[in-house]
Amino acid sequence: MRLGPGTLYGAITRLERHGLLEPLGSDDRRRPYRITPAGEALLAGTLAALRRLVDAGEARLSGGRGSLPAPRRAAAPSLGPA
Amino acid sequence: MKPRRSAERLLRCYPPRWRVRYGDELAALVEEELADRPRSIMVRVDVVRGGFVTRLRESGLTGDSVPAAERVRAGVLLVGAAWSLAVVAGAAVATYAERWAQAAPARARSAPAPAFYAVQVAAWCAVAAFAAGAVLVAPALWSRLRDARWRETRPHVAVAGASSLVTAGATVALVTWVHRLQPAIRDGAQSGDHVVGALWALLRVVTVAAFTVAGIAALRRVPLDSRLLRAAGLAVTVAASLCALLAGVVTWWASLAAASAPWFAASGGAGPSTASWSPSEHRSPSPRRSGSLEPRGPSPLRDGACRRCPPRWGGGAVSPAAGAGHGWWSSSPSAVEVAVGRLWPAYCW
Repeated sequence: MRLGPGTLYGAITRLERHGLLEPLGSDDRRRPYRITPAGEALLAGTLAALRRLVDAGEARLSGGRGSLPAPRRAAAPSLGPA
Repeated sequence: MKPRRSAERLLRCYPPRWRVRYGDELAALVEEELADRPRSIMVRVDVVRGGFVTRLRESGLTGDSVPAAERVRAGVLLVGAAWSLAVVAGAAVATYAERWAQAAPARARSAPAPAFYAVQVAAWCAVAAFAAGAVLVAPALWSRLRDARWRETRPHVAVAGASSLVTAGATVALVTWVHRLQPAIRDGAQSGDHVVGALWALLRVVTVAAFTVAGIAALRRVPLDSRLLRAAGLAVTVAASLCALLAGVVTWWASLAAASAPWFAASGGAGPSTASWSPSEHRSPSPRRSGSLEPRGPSPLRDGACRRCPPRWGGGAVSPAAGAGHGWWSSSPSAVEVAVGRLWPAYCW
């Protein structure tokens, strides 16, 4: 997946504003960024949620057409409104 | 165009404060992208879209990056800008729709008439709410203009004032000039009329835009207090009225087209501009043919600057026969026209 410059910097702006990303010093015009501890925690939580989703999907597929549980709203981590 | 220059132009889509922080690094990235793909439209579209979204977010219209009170201010400013746009569009529609009831066939009026009435009601609601909001914020605005921040707003106010003077001067000159023309020329027989009328309309649009910019610049510096929050409530009324107004105009237009399709889309019937017209004859041009619902086609010079005044106004004496022949007496003059006619006889002829 290749992000356009506008999309990429829109995401960088939001992530930095939420303290999930921080810039590193650089003499170049292009500035490198580093994920913060808060960002790592959020990323870990998001990956774990995705992993549970994948596991549940694979279990359903391998276990045949069993009855699905009633849908419920998952407490997914959020960056807040765009 | 070189990638560097393209990147600099594209970056203008972003708000200045954002550019101070991210501008250089985004420019470097855009330059690299454009060097690899010089003809890429997607890169340009992506940067423009990103700039638009960032402007919305930084102004407080979307997201939560600014305090709630500032978001209220942004909403009020947005409604103010929409109001200015509605004033310009409304003037165009009002000119276009003038005497539509006399121009349209009788069978075609029943459905559009309620819609047109709703448009007028919505317009007056919007005017009342906007005026009330202006009264609310005027004291704070005035006190802010008098303090040190006046320097920041002064250029915008100066441009608005100068634009008003130029427009007023052009209006006086135009009316005086038109007053001396022969009726056939005055009523649109010469194509040059349209150029003059278009320039005059452009001046008015520029003046409205200048006042909008000055108003926004001043309101941005007004401290947030209860008055501004009350104005926000009125801004919601203005916004709702503008939505109703737009819906009414669309309904009026669509119902008029649907109820009288042959007349509406007729290819003939416009006739010469000096021909007489009577409401009972239905010899009016179709809107598509003439570009106007006016009985005898569009003539910007007739818009506002060229009203006929009945003898009782003290203006030019016009016989009823001449009035009927020109189709001007089919509707009553507005209160504003009466007042202008009394104050300024040259307005009439």
